[in-house]
Amino acid sequence: MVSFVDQAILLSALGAFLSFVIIFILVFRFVKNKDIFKRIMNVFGWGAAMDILLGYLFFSSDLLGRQDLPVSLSVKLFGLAVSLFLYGILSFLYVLCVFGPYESSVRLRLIREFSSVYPGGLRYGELLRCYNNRNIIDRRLDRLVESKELEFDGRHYRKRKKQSFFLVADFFAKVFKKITQ
Amino acid sequence: MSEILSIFLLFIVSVFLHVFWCRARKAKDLQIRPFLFLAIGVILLYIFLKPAPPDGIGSSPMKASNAPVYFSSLMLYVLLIPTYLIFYFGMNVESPSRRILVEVEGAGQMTYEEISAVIDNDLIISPRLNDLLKHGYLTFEGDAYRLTPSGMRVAQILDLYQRITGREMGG
Repeated sequence: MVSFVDQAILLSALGAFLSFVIIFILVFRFVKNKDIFKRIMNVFGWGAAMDILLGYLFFSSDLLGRQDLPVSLSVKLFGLAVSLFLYGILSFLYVLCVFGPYESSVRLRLIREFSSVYPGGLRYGELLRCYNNRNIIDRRLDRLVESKELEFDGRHYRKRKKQSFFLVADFFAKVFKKITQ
Repeated sequence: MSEILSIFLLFIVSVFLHVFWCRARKAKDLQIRPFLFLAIGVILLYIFLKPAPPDGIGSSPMKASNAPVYFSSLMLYVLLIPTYLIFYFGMNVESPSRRILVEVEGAGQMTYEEISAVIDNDLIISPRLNDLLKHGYLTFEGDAYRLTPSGMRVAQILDLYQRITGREMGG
């Protein structure tokens, strides 16, 4: 049995996620590699605003046909928080499982390089002429400088932020690895 | 609405069980399937052991504050599983961006040439080629790497994604 609150939470989270994916696909046709981090946050913000709007509509109006059900402010806020959390995870998973691998996975890029000569093959040296460590480093340095993780003075790269997403993730990964082994 | 809290607790239990499993097995490879079994087992156990709710809860004229949010909770639990697996997988994979930051932080400052000397093809390309060979997406015949039919299917999916999104090839 799906309760009214359940319906409102799920519909607002899924509606917001759908709008996130549509806007993401439209916007990212024109986004350059170096602007990716910034634009992801912008589109995520758009989806969150949609979630709040949809949550407000579903909880406050008769769209779900349950106007007679008394809904207190605390229930609305709780439902909205859960809906935002669901939307956050959905968009996080889209970025990390769909967009991220396409955009930055070295393995997937290798597959595409080989597909361009399919059913033929490539020697290691031939592959490196099309795709090598410099292509990989260039793309990442562009992104890291633009997202202000690194600074570049024309010759040297330096760390700009004391903490960054990558280093915090690295710290937790090390801790977790220690726990599990 | 206590279901949301219960789901978080159940998920933490699944993660703890997985950690214990990994420690007990002393496994060097990824333990993804055991985690899936544990997570599904824990939620099924919860569903079967939880007492059924009284009739009418959550529908008019019951108070919304008592309304159960079973489906939202279930969806939350289902979504937490890949979220944890991403973290668990990421722990075992060398990210080039992370490596660049760690190297630059360790050295204080680095030129482009110094970075590309540390993050070379042997570090970044060769292990991934070996992974693709190991998982059957590539074959190595004579002196060349070739895509297998399953590798070609992945490439076709990527082509489709590129047509939909209009993004240039990543990597």
